[in-house]
Amino acid sequence: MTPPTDPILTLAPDTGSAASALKLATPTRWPDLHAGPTHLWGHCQGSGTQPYLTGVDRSGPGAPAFKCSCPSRKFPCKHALALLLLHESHPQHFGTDPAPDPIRKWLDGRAEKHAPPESDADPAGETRSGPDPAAQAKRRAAREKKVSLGLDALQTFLKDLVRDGLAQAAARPYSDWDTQAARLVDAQAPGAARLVRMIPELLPHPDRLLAHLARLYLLTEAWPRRDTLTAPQQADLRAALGFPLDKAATVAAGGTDTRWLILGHTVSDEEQVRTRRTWLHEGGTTALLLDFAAPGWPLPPTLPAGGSVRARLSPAPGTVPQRHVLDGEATRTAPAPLPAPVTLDSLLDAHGAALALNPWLERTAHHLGPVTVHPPTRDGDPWRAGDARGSLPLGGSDTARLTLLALGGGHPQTFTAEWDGQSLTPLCAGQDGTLHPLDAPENDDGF
Amino acid sequence: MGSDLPALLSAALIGTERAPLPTPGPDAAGQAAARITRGDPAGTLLARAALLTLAATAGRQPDPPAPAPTPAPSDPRPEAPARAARHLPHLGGPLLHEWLSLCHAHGSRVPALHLPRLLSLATQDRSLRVPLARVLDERGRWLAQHANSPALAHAEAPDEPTWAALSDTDRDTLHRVLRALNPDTARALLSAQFDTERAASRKRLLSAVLDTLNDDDHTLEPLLEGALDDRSPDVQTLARQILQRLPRSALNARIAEALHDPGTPPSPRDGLSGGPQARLSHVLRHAHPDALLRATPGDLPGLITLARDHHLLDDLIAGTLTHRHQPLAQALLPHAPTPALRALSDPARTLRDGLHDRDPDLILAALAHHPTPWTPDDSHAILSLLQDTLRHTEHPYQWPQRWRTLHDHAHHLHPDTTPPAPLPPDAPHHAQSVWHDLMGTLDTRRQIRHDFKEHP
Repeated sequence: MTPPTDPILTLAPDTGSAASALKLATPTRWPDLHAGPTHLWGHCQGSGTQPYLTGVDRSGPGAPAFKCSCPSRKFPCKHALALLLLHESHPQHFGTDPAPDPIRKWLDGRAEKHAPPESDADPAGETRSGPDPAAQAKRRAAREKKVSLGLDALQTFLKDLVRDGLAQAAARPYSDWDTQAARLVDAQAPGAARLVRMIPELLPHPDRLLAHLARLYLLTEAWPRRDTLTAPQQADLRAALGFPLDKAATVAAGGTDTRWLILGHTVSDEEQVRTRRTWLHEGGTTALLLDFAAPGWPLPPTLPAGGSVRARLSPAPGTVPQRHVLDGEATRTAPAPLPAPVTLDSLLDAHGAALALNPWLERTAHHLGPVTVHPPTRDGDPWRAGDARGSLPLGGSDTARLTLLALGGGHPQTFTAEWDGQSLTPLCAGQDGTLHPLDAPENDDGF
Repeated sequence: MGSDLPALLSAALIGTERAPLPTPGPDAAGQAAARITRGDPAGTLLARAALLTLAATAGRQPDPPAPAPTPAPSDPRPEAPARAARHLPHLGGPLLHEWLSLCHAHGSRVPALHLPRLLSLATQDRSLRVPLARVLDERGRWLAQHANSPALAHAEAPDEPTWAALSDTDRDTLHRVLRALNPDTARALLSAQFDTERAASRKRLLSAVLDTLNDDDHTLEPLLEGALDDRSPDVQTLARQILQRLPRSALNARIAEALHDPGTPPSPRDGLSGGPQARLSHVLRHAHPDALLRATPGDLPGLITLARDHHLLDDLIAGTLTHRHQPLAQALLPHAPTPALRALSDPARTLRDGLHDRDPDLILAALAHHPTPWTPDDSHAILSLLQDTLRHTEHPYQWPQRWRTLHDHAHHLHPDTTPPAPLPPDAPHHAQSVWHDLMGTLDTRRQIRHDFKEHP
């Protein structure tokens, strides 16, 4: 699969939508096309009786925002994408008529929603009441008690596994792992539950299994001693256990408003949730944005992999300032220069240093190079990325690896990648001072 | 793994109930682990494992260097212009074929970024393989070796072990690619390998020759004559068909002799079997018309008279159409004015008649003999007719089959066709949708051509 190269098409929920949008991005399909200062609207002749009314708001947080009268469940739909594409390619076809009522109301609603908040003082001059600190403390204590009970049970479970022998673990029914994970969800430790759900896939690899169980065990030992940890260490622990991040507090603590280069993103599907990790870089900081969606629901619009945005990012508390929160909207900017690439040695050093601070850190992202991509010479061997000092296994999709190989042609090259301690997942290839995304999600249907 | 980890893993696999905890080693990690003790062996093992596995991960060194691949040779051709390449991720089917043809005509190669997807598509769609092979260039062929597409990795005949390692399908693909890129090499390869191939592979190789036959393939005649005695009846048939298509082949000369000599003995090897009438029928239906005319004193009228006198005009017509023999088609037309003969004898006039009479059979028959893309004028006329027949169509099957077939060939419309006026707003939704798709596709094709033309 080859990713869409048009930045607009990176907004598509899948490549099928991108292809459909391209088909629709011709003025013959649009009896009406109009542009306002911050919005676009138009009628698109689809297969319905009436043309679909489509609008795009290019202002406010989360922009662009989309609205369309079509019945598609995809978001943004192909009509909205096509409208944006058309405005890029055929601006002369756009008139300036005012938006029809449905679009007008939607734009007004968005403007109102994103207007600056009013003062906390109501018209009577009294201050509105904030959350009750006592109630908050009570809720927090109740949750912590639940987590303690859940982790106690998990510790017993882990010890039982090791007492009986990990060689026996593969014979356990799947329900054992599911039950244990469900208990941790009930105990409000979804992060630990996720780690338990990963155990079955590690059963064929005893060394990795032991490392994984040991890290889980470390969670169960760290939690009762949390009061002895520093605040950033406590934040690491809470994040690993799956405590939700207080985004408002994170944003309030301040962030960096600057130009960020998007190193790439990966999407992983787990049982209950789809997670997108977007890696950004600026100066010496590599920031991670996380987006989540329930099964069947689209992820929020993605930032363009390989592109650059101006955005305010606030670091979540923790010993390694990795996860960040986007404050407001990100706007496309001129391409930022690529960070200096690092050797495999430097990558491992940086990862090790981060791990020394946060033992539950799962992955780090880097701009690597110059490294050569090595396809396997024998069946069953892994792909590798190598430099003068050695090599590391190269994971990711076949398409991503082949694209890297195609771009490098067997010569040293640079690329961005996630390192999870086991293998590199390539994100974007560096070429001529820019980054090219290597993977596109889902379908790859042409037309 | 650290030095203590293997022992710890062994104990963990066996279980602390049966295996004792290993004694920590003397190194720093081992000594740090030795200081970790819990109330039970399982807890101690897990806590020590946490320390040692984290230390191992944090202190990991790169694995030994892997054997480096031989770098790709440099490409003689430039990459296709970026403006044209931007379409590639979204193209499939006829549009992708058109893009690849334009790229070849432009003297460009597929940009490296797009090679993996196209190689992947070509593994699923065999019709893409030859058009793609034309624009792979060195980098693409080099990548094909690593992308499980070995047949696309060669522009020259491969060495013996490489050929031997290929599957029948890959040999067929490679042979077809070489016939397109380097026909002399393909013929040499065929001559060298044919006799040692399995019957199924021999059949595929000859099918490729039949599909892409040209005049230079006369040099294959000795091989094909030999294949007439092949153990496989399918291979014999294919060899015979190829020889029949070569106007100057010895086989054509032999069977044409049977035209005027009813006493010619049956020759199943040449396809002549049965009684004299059956053999004559076979000759008229299968021998190349040039060979028949060479053997007939009265030229075209003499041949037609012979066929008519033996009530075998249908066989002669079938042979004429198979071999696309225009002079004979023109001569036969007064005797059998079928759409197919009309189209072969005068494609341009037949198309005009078909458009005038709104006869889709005639139009389709004529278009089979027109070069593609059709001319802008023809395309406009066809488009207007399609629109006219489509405008009241409310669902797909309301549109007659022959018009739908013509619509299926719409990728041959000239991209610079002046489109007719849009459908009226009250046209049914289905009609609107089909029409808009058609216009959108034309627009995309026009854009692709423009992008190739304007960005040398």
